[in-house]
Amino acid sequence: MTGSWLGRVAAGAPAQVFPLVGRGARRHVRDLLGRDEIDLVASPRHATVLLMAGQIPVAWDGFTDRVHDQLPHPRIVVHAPWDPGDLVEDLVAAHHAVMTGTTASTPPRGPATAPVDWKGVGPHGQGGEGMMGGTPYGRPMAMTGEDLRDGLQLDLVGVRIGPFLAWWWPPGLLLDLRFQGDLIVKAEVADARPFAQTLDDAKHMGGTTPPTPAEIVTDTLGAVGHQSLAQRWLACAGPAQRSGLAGRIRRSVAGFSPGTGRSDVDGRDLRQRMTEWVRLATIDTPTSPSTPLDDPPPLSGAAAVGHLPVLLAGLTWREAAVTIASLGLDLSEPGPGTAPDVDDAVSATALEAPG
Amino acid sequence: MLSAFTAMVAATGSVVLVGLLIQHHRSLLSPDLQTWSERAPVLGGAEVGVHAWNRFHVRYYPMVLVFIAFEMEMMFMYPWAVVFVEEGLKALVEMGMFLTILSVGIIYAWREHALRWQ
Repeated sequence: MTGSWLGRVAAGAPAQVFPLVGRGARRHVRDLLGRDEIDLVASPRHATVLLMAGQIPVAWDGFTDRVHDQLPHPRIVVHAPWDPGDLVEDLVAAHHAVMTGTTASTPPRGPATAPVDWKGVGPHGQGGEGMMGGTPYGRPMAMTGEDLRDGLQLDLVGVRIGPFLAWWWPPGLLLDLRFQGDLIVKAEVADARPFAQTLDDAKHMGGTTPPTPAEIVTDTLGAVGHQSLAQRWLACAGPAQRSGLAGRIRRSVAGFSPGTGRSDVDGRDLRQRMTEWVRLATIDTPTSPSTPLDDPPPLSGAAAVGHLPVLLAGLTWREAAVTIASLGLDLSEPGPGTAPDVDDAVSATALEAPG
Repeated sequence: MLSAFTAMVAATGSVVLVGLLIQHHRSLLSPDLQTWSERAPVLGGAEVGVHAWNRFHVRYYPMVLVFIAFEMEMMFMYPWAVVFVEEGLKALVEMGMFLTILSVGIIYAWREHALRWQ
């Protein structure tokens, strides 16, 4: 497509960027929302540029490779392991280069054909008992389990989600979910934990404080899908300007039924938590809210990870995603599970400086 | 007449031919045919664990049942009214049979609490 007219037209559009948010990079990625030259897209399928931001452990190369292959051609990778510097220019230049054909689209990293064949026990390769059983393409079929709503025996589908789902997703959070139809019946935090976004040393990237209420509101709006509202919220200069958007933000989550994502810890559901974050973001000193005993702060951070299984059971995926975003899971303490050693296992590819 | 028939055959044939061509030479339309790893579902980097083939409960089925029982019934009854004027008792008996069969569905919907206001 070298020099094609369509390619040149597409090169002039905002760079469609899908970020892989590593350690300490979340703020920089969130800041990209406010840039007109960048379009922070919802999934790898929308993207041209794959941004690998922050430190991503070598052990997670499998995850990054899979996301990389999910970008359609033409695609290009931009590494920003440390201080992003002129990140926006790099992203725009990469987008332009690959769209006009001066840089070739990166080849797939995963296998070209299925590593495991279709295999079952039947004469046509189907599964064992009726529709169930067998392992087509190395994947087991869903088996039945008791349904949450009426006790019927329905198929349980296990889906592992994360660690790089979207820009608003807690970086590194890997969830094992079991669905029956549209409902999550069981949720577990898999053998990983959200990357610490609150570095003590902070020598490579910024971000030395936990996420502010304003940032959690931004992420939740992203999860809801109101990206333009998130951009307007992010562009607000201070609490006074933000309060002008407060009503609009409360309405954006008004569609969730009361009690969705309710936790006994803070006594709030998703909507009340969002209202509280907005309130904290629109008062003058959001970092030191006065919290009397009868009004606990919203459930967030490391404490919230342990409650995810209870919080997410019974929700639909959309409700679960917004609930997760509303918890502000940028962690500095280790959560459950065994984390890959982030300190000395920085991806070799991520060490290449941008430009 | 024959020319119209020939034109129809030609049109059908060309549609089938183009369809077959697309089937066999998909690379003509999409030069970057995706590999196995590129076709994987987007889960944020995680691998697919379970085969996507699964059965789930269609929870809107009581509404469908009620719709068929009442709406479809009316669709038949309007033209039947015209026939009834001509045929008399015979048409009445036939409609009676139809409604009997339909009422089994209504009784089933009743048992499934489809008629309960929630």
